[in-house]
Amino acid sequence: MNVLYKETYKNPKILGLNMGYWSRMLKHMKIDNFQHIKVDCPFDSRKDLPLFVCTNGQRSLRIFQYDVYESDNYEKYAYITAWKDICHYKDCEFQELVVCLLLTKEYTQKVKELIKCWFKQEDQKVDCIIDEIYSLQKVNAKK
Amino acid sequence: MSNRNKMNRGRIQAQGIGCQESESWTQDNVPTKNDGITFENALKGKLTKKEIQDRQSCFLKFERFINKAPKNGYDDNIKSSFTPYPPIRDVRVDVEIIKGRAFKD
Repeated sequence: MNVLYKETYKNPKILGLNMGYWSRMLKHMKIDNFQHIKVDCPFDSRKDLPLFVCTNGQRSLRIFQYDVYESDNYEKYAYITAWKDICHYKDCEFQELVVCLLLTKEYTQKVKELIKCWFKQEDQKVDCIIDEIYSLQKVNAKK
Repeated sequence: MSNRNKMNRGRIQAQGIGCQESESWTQDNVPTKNDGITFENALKGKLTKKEIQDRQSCFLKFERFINKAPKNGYDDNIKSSFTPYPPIRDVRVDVEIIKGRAFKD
């Protein structure tokens, strides 16, 4: 399993590249009124905060990335999950999609598809993709 | 003064697979790191053994999050989620700092 940006939480340079990667990906999706919300915090608390947060004024997205060095037996288990939630930002309430993953090619493809459907408000597809993600986790239940 | 006007508001929640319990704060003083641990334990008190067990690593990550907070605490508009290793569907512990600051020294 090839994990991208492995050193994200060890090296601020890699963290920056990783954030840039998500920013670029979201920009390519050409989401109307796209706004990146920056989370201000010290480098050593980064791994407990979202890596990337954005909104289009109606819906928002929070992305967390597992630290490969803490992820127990990451080659054996599925380190990807997602859910829908509600969040508050500057006194407004948003519907939000939350994604937590280890950054691999396979998971990134799945998440890209999920994010596209989320901002297009294709909620049935969103639910289907989340179910697909949960079915990848069957192996996790055996832990 | 109504609770909504108090300077510092937030909550921690245990969520996922049918569980939805929370512990919130609304107060004039910025909650300290110790207050954070108290909120965590108050939340645990509302959960079953199994719900706590499923979220053991989530609570450990929440404690690390508190301990790594800057001296004067985290800013508002911060929301974080702590999932188990490896993840199980939407099982998690969320923390949301809605207004003011939280978890100062």
